[in-house]
Amino acid sequence: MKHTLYLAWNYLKYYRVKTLLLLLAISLTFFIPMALEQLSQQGSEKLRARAVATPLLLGNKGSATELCLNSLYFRESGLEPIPFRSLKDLRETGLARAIPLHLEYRVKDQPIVGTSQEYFSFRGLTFSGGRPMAVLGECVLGARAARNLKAEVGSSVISTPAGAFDIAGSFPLKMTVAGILNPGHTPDDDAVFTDIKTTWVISGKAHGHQDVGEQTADSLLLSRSASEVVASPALLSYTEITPENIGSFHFHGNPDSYPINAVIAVPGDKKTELMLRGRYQDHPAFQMVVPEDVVDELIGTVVSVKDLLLLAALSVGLATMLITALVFLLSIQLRKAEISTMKQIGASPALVRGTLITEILLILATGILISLILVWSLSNLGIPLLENYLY
Amino acid sequence: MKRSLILVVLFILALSGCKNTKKQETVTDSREEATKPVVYVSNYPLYYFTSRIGGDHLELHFPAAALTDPSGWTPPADTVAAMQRADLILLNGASYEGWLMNVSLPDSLLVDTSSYYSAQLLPSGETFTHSHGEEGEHAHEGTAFTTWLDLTLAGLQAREIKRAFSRIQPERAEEFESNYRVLATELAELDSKFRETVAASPGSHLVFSHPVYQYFQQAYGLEGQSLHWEPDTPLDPNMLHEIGHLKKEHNFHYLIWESEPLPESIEKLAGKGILSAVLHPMGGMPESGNFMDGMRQNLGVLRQALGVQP
Repeated sequence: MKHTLYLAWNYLKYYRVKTLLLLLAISLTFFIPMALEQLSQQGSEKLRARAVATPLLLGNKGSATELCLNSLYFRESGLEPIPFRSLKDLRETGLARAIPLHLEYRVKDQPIVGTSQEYFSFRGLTFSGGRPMAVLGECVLGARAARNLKAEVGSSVISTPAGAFDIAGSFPLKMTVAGILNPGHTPDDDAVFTDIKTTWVISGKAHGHQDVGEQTADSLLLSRSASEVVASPALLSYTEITPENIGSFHFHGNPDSYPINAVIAVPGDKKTELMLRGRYQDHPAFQMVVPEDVVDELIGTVVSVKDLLLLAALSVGLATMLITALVFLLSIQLRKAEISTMKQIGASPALVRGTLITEILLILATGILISLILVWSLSNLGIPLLENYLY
Repeated sequence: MKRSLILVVLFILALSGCKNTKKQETVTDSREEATKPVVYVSNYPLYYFTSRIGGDHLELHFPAAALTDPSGWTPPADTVAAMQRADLILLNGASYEGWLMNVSLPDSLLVDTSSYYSAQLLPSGETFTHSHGEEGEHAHEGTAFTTWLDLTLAGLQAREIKRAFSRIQPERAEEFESNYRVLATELAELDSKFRETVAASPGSHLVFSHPVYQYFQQAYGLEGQSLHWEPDTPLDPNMLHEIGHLKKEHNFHYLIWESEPLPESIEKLAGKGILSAVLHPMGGMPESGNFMDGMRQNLGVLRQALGVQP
């Protein structure tokens, strides 16, 4: 045994290029399907974890997938808004806590999430610095958003106008960074959180401006009488909310009709969840979805694609193994003279067979070991690194 | 080598021991703090009702205490941040907290003490006319907010406070109930005295310097007009002309102010046969006494203005 191992080891060492090529082929053959499985499993778990942590979502009738993807992962929002009244109605049922989501605006590439204080405790978000937003015009940045926007507590970020053709509203608002969150490796890391009312300021539902009765230059007034002052459209609305001008900010119209994109509903238990779902089952305008079900369906589609990829990887692996077998057979043919010399100097046929089998086993075992090390490194080092890059 | 290894292990153990002790202290501290729920109120009547019902079992904060009229208060960001960590935020409602739309507070902490009788809220008597683009001009009428001057409504607000406390401290529900009953009885007694006073002087007419007595007038059947005069603004000829007309029309003898007017205003009005009296709206923290003392004083002022003997 000792002799066969010695002979096989020295043979592999001598033909090190051939050995390395074989090891590479074998380890890749095992690594690719295992890595694919690992990646898809961890990706699915991440995707599911956020969906499972969000009991119910209320939104406008339409695509349930779009409602979930936008509300959970803050994709570019194309969600039709629902009135704020719908959140109040949900609260008044007493069956669930209701957290609003307004997802229309961005700061550069970072999504602005207009919500309420409850969102932070609901998601278990903690602060690396500062505090939650307290007044209109303050915001809280996710860890990655802070890095991308090069912002820190006390600095400012400016909302991006919705588009060049959006003449009616959405003027840029300079927001003060009140706090920065610890990284959680979720889409929250990318978000700029602000109070829902601040997103209404961005949309033009609320604004503050100079006191036209007292401070305005005559050039900005169309007419002034004892009882009435008519301001010119050139009168500038404030684009930053400060302690000095916050008192001048006011809302026009009934806040109950103001837009929100979705509501996270957190029922007390399974029974109240079922009651709530029953109430919205046949609602003409809104839909209430269970994100877990929607994401499971989505993962089901992804998994079937993954299965195809896995099948392809296994086929390639099988072909590689056949080629490897061929390499070994050809190698034995080429080593006829060497085998004959071994026999002439007294090696038994069992020793020769043993040496060849040991060579193959050594290559296979080392190849499998390398692939296992690679898979372990991927799941323990590579994926967290990837997450750090992505979130 | 072995000895130094043991020393390193002992050092690490000692460090981790220190860490654990610190953690335990933090937990104990937060538990001690957590025994007293933190409650914020937005005006003095709520502060008074809360302290009467909750007693020493609450950590009570009235951040606008320094203001005579907390209805114009705008909370600074740091105060709002502290309020976010409270267990309850008691609001007067009826549009009293104009700052509420400008702050970020968890809805689960907010208790609107006048929500129970929201259908009975009165207009403030002030209208705001404006237009939005091509929509044309339209007007909004404000809501009157001095609800507590109707002592029946004040009792209902106190009941909402008691319910909110019983929700966060159910183990003390009986004590809160008993404290509330004592307060409600006192409020009801004073309420009936106000009713008796006005009933003893039927047809009397008063004029009020500012529209802050809507609920007071409605509750006790007081007839009278409201002006828009500030106590610290000197009276000009137009104002004197205006009140002269009112005097001719209603033959009233008293002008009720919300706080002490300027001495020259008192003098000018006296020249027209109008006496001045102060009926304190009690929205802010009084310099002395408490809510019940202030309302008893108001009862005395009303008796004097209506010429009713106690």
